[in-house]
Amino acid sequence: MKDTSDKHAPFVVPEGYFEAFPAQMMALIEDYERDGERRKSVFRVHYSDRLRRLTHYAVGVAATAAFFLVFTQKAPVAPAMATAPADAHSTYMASSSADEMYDYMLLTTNDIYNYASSLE
Amino acid sequence: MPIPCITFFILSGEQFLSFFHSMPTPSVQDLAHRLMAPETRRAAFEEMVRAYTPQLYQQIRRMVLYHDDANDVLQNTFLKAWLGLDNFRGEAAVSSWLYRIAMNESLTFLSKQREQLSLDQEDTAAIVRRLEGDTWFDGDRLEAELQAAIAQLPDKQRMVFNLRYYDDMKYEEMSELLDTSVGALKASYHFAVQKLKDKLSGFFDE
Repeated sequence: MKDTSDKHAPFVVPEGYFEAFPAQMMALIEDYERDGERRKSVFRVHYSDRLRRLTHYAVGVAATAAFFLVFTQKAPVAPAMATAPADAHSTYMASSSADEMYDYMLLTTNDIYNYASSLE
Repeated sequence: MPIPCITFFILSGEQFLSFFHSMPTPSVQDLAHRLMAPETRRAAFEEMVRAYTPQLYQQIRRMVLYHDDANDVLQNTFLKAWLGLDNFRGEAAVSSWLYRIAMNESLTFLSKQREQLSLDQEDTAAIVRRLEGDTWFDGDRLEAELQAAIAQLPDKQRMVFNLRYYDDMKYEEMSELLDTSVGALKASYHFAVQKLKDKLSGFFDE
C-alpha cells in the first residue's frame, strides 16, 4: 500500500500492516498496563489512609519524645574542681545548712583570716 | 460553486479541517465522548487506532523515513494517547490531538537518534544509500535525493514542508495545529523550498 497523497512519496508499507496494527497495539497496551501493575505492587508501598494515619501518629510520638529528651533534661552538674570555692559552692548549692552557708560566704569573700579566726 | 456544496463544507467542520481526506472518519463527536467515558473507552480507542493509523503512519514515515522507525513511533504515539486519555477533554479534534502527539514523538525520536549517532545529522549521501537499499522504499535515485534533502531540513521546517507539500494543508489549519502564526509558517515553507532547490540543483549539475 502506497502513500495516498497526490504527490508520490515513495514509502511502501508492508502488506497487511495496517490491518494487523490495531490488534497489536491493543495487545501492547494490555501488556503495558499489566507490567505497570506488577511493578507497582512489588516496589511501591500502597499508602492507604489507615497506613498514612498510623505513620503520622508514629512520627508525632517520636517528635514529641525527642522534644522532651532534648529540652527537659537537668543541666549537668559541673565536675568537682580542686579549688575550695568551687567545692564550697557545690556544697552550698546542694544543701541549705546555715553552717555551710556561713562557710561559703566567708570563703567567697576571700576573708581567710576572719574565717580562720572564727574557728578558734 | 453550488450552494449545497458550500453548505456541506461549512457544516462538516471536522472533515473540512481534517487532512485525513481519504479516510472515512468515525463520527468525531461520538468518538470523543466515548473516549472520555471509562466504560466505552477501550472499544472507542481501538476504533480510533483503526481509523487513524494509515494517515498517522504516513505523517510519521515522512519524518523518520524508515518503516521500522515509523512503526516504533506510531506505537509510542498511541501509547501516549492511551495514557493521556484522562486529560483529553475533547476541546481539540481527535485528529488534531493525535497529530500533535505523533509529531512530538517523531521529533523526540529524531533528537534521540542524533544523540546516538553522535552527529549533527546523518549526511545526505548516507541517507540516499540507506534509502536505496531499503526494501520499503520504492523510489529512484532522484526520489532518494529529495527525501534525503528533506531529511536535512530542521525538524520543524520539515514538518511544515511535509504538511504543505504532501497534504496540501492550508496555512490557517496548520497554524491551529502547530500553534504558530501563519506568517511564520509561510516563511518556514519558503526557506524550506529554497534549501531544497539549492541541494537538488547540485544533483542535476552532476
